[in-house]
Amino acid sequence: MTMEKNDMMERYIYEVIRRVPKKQREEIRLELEELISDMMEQEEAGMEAVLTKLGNPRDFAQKYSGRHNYLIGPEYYGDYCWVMKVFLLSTLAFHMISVIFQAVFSPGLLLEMSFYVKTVFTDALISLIGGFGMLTLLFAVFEHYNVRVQITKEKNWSVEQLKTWTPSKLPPVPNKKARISRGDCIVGIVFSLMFGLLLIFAPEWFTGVNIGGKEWKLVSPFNHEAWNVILPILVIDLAVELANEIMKLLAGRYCKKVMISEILSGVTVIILSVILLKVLPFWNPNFVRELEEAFEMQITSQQDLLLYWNDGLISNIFLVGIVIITVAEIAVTVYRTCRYGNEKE
Amino acid sequence: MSEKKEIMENLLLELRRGTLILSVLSQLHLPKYGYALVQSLEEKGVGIETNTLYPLLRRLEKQGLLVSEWETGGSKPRKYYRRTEAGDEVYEKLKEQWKGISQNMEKLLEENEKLQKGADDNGKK
Repeated sequence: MTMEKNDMMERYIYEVIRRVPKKQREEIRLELEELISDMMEQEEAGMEAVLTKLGNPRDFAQKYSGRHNYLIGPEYYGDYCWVMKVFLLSTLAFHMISVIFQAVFSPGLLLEMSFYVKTVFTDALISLIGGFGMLTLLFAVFEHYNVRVQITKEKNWSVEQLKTWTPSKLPPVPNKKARISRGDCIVGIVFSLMFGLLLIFAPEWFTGVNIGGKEWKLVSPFNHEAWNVILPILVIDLAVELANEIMKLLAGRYCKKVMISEILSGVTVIILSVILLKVLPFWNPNFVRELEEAFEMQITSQQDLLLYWNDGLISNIFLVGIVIITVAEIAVTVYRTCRYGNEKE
Repeated sequence: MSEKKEIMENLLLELRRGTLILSVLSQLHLPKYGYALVQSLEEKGVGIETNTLYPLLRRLEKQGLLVSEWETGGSKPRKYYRRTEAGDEVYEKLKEQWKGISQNMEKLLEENEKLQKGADDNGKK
């Protein structure tokens, strides 16, 4: 082989392997070297003829990588469109409400051009595009994940089963109570994501209450100094709930997997809530004083719950609420799984 | 005309694609390297494009139907593929299916030929 031929082969192989996953490159390079030299020997053809026969390296690489050329397949496309609509509309609504709030609290903004350009228009556009991207990513992950789910489901099979289908083979419709509503899961997923994004990117929504008075004051019920610790725990909490909702969405019905996921997620939520509310300084200890200063009033009435702000009462109320709701969710899941979860799919 | 040609090409491709895996599996009871496989298939009248075969072999290996081994003893390193146990099982099942399909197709086409012939004869009268 002359240098020139070698050069052409190298170029060809490079054009193929740069398009395939990194860890396969070396082996594919060896394979192609073997193939090309075999073809040249056996067919007594020149390098150019051999490479022409092999065709465009791009097509070759595409066959090697074997990926399908879409992000979201037909199976998920319908849901994707529906969720996208709900998500974009609710984001827009959310944005509009925030714009109205800002305008009400400081009407002066209405006279500023930048308010319309930045807050009303650009911010809306950014949040819509961001939401679009996040949802697309989420569904692309579903698509990818589902491919694997289907592969593992094909364990018990025979050709006969694959081929002959009769109506008698229709699986029983899962009992109404055994079904998990996709809508509920999707709403749960969308809201955990939205809440999570807001926590991370717009913490002022949660940490501050603007009270309009003679001057602007930031009064927050949450502890600002501990926010660096509180935020990650809240985000982990949301991530756990998100994972659970995705699990439920994929399963579509109550079964062991869903039950285990629900129990794990519930226990995690309770533990994290205890850490947040009982161990960490979650609440702003000066909240009541700051509130009183802001409103120029005194909270002394025995009936006013705020009087007990620092006694742990608020934490206890929240904690009891969270525990009751979580335990109830787990109980419902366990009950439905035991009652209906064993029906054949 | 060229449109018809294109349709025909696509149909042919589709038809061959269906038999591709079975053809490949049938040849790999004993280890073979890629190009030898191309040749042995071509000798038997089954053409396959190399840029389809190589990726296909890798895919079948990933699915556990084939296993590969590099042999470095010869003049140059060669990658040999052969069927695994799972590959044997799948091959046997596919083969049975194929026999059924080809028998039925044969019947179908033969019947059709007779009918056509009959119609032609009637036309002549």
